[in-house]
Amino acid sequence: MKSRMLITILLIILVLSACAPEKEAPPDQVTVQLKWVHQAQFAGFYAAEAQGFYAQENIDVNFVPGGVGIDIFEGVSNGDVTFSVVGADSLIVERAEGRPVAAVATIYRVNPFVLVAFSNSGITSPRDFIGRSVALLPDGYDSVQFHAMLTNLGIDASEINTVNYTYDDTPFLNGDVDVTVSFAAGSLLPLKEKIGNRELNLIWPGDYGVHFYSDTLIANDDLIAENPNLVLRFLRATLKGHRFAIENPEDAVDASMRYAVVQDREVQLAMLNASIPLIHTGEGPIGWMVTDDWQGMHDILFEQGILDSPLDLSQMYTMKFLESVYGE
Amino acid sequence: MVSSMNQIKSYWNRLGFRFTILFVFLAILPMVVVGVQAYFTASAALEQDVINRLATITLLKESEFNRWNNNNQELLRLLAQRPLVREYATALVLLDERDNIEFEGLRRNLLQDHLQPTLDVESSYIDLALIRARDGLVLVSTDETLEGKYRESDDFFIQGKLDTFVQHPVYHLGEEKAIMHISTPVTDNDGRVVMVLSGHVDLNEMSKIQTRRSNFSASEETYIVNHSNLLITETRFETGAALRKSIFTQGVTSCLAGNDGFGFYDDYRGIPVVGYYRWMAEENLCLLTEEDQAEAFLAVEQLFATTLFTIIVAVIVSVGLGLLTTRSITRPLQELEQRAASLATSLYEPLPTEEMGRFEEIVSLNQSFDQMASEIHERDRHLEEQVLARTAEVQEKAKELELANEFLQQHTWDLTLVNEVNSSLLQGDSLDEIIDVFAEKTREMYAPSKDKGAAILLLSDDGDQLILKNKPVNKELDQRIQKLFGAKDPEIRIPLHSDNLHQQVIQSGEPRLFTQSDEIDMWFRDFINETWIKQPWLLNQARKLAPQIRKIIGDNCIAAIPLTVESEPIGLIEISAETPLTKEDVQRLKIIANQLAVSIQRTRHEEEIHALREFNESIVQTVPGAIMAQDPNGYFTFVNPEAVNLLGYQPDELIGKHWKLLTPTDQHEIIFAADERRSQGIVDSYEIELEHKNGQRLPVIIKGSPRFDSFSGEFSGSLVILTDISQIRQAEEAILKEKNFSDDMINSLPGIFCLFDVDGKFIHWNQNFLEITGYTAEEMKRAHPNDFIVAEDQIKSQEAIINGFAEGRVYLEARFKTKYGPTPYYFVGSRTLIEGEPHLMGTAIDISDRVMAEETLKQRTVELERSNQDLERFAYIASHDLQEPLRKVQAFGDRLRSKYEDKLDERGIDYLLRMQETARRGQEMVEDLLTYSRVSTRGQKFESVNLTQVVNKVIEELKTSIDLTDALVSVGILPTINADANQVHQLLHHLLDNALKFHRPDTPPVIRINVDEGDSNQVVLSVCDNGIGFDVQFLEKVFQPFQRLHGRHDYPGTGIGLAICQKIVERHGGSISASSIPEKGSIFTITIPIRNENKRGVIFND
Repeated sequence: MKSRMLITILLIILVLSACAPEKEAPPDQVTVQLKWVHQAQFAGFYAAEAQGFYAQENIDVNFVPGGVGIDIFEGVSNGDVTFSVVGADSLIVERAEGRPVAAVATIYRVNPFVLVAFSNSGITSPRDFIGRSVALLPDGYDSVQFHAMLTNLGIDASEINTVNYTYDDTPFLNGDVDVTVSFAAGSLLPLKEKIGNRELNLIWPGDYGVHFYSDTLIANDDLIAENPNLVLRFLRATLKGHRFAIENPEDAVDASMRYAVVQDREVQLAMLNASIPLIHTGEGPIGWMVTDDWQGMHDILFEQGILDSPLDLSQMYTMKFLESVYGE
Repeated sequence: MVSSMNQIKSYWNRLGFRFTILFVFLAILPMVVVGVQAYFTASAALEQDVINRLATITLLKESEFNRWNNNNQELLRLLAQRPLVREYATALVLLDERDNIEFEGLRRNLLQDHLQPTLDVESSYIDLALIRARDGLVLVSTDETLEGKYRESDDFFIQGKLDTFVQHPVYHLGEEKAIMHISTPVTDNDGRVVMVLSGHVDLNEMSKIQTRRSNFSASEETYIVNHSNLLITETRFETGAALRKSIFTQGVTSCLAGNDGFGFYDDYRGIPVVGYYRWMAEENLCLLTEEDQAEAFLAVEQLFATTLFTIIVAVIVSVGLGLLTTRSITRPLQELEQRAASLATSLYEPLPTEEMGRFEEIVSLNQSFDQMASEIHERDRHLEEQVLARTAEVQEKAKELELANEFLQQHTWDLTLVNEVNSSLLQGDSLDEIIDVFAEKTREMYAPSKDKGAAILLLSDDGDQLILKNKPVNKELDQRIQKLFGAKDPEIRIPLHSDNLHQQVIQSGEPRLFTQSDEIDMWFRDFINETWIKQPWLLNQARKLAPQIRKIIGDNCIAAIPLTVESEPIGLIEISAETPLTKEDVQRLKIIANQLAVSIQRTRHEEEIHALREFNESIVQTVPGAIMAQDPNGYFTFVNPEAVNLLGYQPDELIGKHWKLLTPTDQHEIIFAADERRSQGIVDSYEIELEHKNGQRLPVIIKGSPRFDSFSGEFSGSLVILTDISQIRQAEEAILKEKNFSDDMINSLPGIFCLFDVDGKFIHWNQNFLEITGYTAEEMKRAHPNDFIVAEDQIKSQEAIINGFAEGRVYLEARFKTKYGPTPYYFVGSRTLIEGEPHLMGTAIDISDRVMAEETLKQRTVELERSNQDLERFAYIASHDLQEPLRKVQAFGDRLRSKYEDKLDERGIDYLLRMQETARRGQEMVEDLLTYSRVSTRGQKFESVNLTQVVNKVIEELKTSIDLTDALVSVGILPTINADANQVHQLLHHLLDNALKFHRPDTPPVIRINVDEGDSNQVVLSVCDNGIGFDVQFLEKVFQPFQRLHGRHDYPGTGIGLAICQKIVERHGGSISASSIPEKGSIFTITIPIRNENKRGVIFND
């Protein structure tokens, strides 16, 4: 008798909620160009999808992985892709070259770029690089951070023997290279696995006046101007997904495993755990951006000759969506 | 349906059923009420207890946190303020940090002597560092790996340069952990910040503080959340959540909004908790203490269960009890019921008590029932006896009633008397009538058969005597007394002495009853006194007759009752009765006497009041003012003849009417307001317009005084005096008209008008003033006269105002400043006294036209003078230059004549001569012209010139002509003047020469030169001749250059002479005129100022 009544009530509630005229409009199709291949680096996005945060915003999302040889700016510039996850420094450069894109939030507020040396090498700061060999990526903007650091410290780059980093830590492990570039949420993790009981010194550009954002969510100028509501909804769901990922790494990794190229749960979890401090530092909400940081990145790019001429900061990013999301 | 209803009804009517219901109800109601109340009170108390506990824990944690935080800060501050630290820090920042021995020494000192020891003592800090203020470089750190790094963009560095700063915990990548920085500035001796001392605090300590449990409850926990909803301490239920987990519970949200308080909500685990939160504004942190609701309210739930259980048990017990009790009551009752039925049939048999059950009440009921049965039988027996006894009693009462009736009859007399007196009083009878009525009635009562009765004696005004007031009723006595003493219808007066009985009665104030013959004699002796019998011997004789009087009257009893009002004696009543009077009679008489006394007194007062009112009315009727009286509601109660006169209404037309009759509608308010004021006791006067009966408006001043009842103190109406002020009004209107007239006059003035006092305050002004200045009347009240004068002229105007007040009249030409711009005005100010105070009255007219004309004139004059000068110079130059060719013509002519005269025929000679003549004339004219122009261009300085000498010289020069013409020249006494000597000479020469030249052919010239000094300032010189004269039509022409009236051949000359004369005179500031009669002569009159200003000479080079 009682249980029947309960069921009836539940049914009524279900019918009523189904009646609610909420999802009449078809969901917006959103394509997201990721910065790199599918991995836990983007756990927040996967979590947002898995937890139905995008669905709640009436968004049907499709993730496109990045990789070697993929221009992650192309799609978002010509409108094929709705959003793209790119490096903040590359955004500035691409913007300067005329790509009509701007940042709406920064996911990785701390750049994972780090220089690594063995503790017993005595290398603790960039000053100690002099006369040593450093493995760096052959091109790309990451080397900018390295050079900016040297500039800040007044070190002549020619006194340092730079070699190409080949995405292989073997030269470093073998001692052929004194210092190697690494990425906190990426290559650093397998490296740490391989060093055994030896210790590493991490030299962060942030300690020497170089504060670069990393993964930044960008959108086309036209989209920002014409469909701000979509941008806001997508951003809201994305940030919610990242929060969820930080608070529930296990669940987020589960979501990541649907996509991840490396189908190793432990690897993905380690990556996520390593990326959490880069995403959520405790200073300001997730995704937040600060003028001084953008200005600092821009100034360094200009000083280092990457930018030919100074650029208007307001073209690079907009705070209006973050301010809406966080109700400021 | 019906049957079930009946069934219920029948159940309801049964005692047992009702008792059961009652018991259940009585048991449930208090239990439920008490239970529910207890539950709510207890649960509220428990809830409050939980909240209080959580609040206490939160506050304790907060203060613990604060203490920890403050200690950390204090430690850092103390370190930063050490003199050596400051000295080394100052030195360190000046040195290059690289490969510098000195730098390394200082660094080591700081590290080993200061930073490291502090760190060792205080465990809260993990490391300490000194950061260079100018670039954020870590110079010294207990953690060597930090040295050489830059902290330039970190909050703790930026804020730490300003003051001690606590950065809320953040994850620091470089150090791979969440850290909390505390920083403080290090300054040099000049107060400049050279370094920032910073320390990393062990966050685990903070977590420890928060997770340390209070042991009050199992589920309680405390944690801290930062402003980004991020958990910064560890929680009990999830490890490693610090700086990772964001919490968005209701408690956190409310707290981050800056609130302190508590709430019931689901915590971050989704479990319902009671939470208490505090916002720590300084640290930007939220501190929360939460406890699971399940635990917190466990006691409340238990209490609820207990209460419910108790209620159910109580209900069951009371139902059982109710059933048992009712059964033990109803059964004996049924028994009694049966026996009562048997009582009527006399088959009644008492039942043994034991059979009635155990209840005392039932037992005693049974006993009472038995007793009642036996008493009912007893009653029956006694009933008859009682009826008999009652009958006897009733008869006795009937007798008593009869007696009472008799008594009542006796008292009826008294009442009748009082009634009579009262009715006569009410009818407004006079005092005499009241006394007569009273005496008559008393007599009827006490001496109905004989001609005796009551005498009413009242005290005289001076209190010396008693005077009989009622008519003597005993005619026999009256006649005898008349016969005895020869007095006819005397007024009976009894003087009061200490030895007479009347006096005694009056003084004692108590009634007396005289029954003894000698007393009665004594009483009557009082009547026989010197007011009747003037001779003492006769008086004594008469007094012996007292017993005879008694016999005549046959009195055997006299009652004397004093009349008193408020214990003051006013007289007495004397009753002579046939039968002896009893004390009761006296008492009764005393009551009646009191009534009479009051009546007498009241009647007397009324008479007095009546007299007074008549007096007042006679005054009111005769005074010259219009007086009216009104009741409190404004209805007239009285009007005097003067008021009738004033208003035209008859008294009966006004009395009982309201003020509205007299006042036009627009004045009603005034009347109502006045009534309102008067009702409050205010005496005042006000102006109002009334309406005469003939409809004319009548301005009056009403002075009203309120009257209040002397007993109740209530407002009883007013007395108003009306004063006709129509004449005053007319006078005022006349004044107003006059004022309007003067206003109109002032406003019609063409210029402006104003009036102001010594302070410059404007009192009055005309319409023009406002229109011209653009000021409003309101602005005028604040304006000052100088506001209307342009700044440049203000000194002048101020002076004029002062002079105006001082001298009474002043003139001023100044620019009048208006809102539309300045305009020149000519002001006339004159002082006037208003109410004894000096005021300045100003009128002014626009003189802009005149000023403009003057300006134009001045300009014209200047232009004219310049053009004159130009002309003169032209004339001078021209004539000067013309001379040359003429002279050449002359010279070549001469040469032609001297050398070629022989070669010319006569016509040629004639032409030559005519040419030479013409040239000569031209030369002459040029010379004259030159002379003419030289008057202005070559004038000499003015000097003292003796005219006599000049004239004599001229006569000398013209001697030839005088002689030729046989002229007679007479010269009067001529003065000395200030002038250009040469020109004066020239002037007189020309005039004299002319007079000689234009003489009549057959008459020798007679010339008179005279001076008529009509004025001390100027000299009037006339030159009079008897020559040919000229027609007046040529008066203008004669002074124009080269104008000739006569043919050249008749009278030689170029005709420039008089023109030169005029020019000379003008240069001297004088004038020349001529008058003439043809063929009779001419008079040339020159007027020249004597004291000419010293003109400088004008010289042009030739």
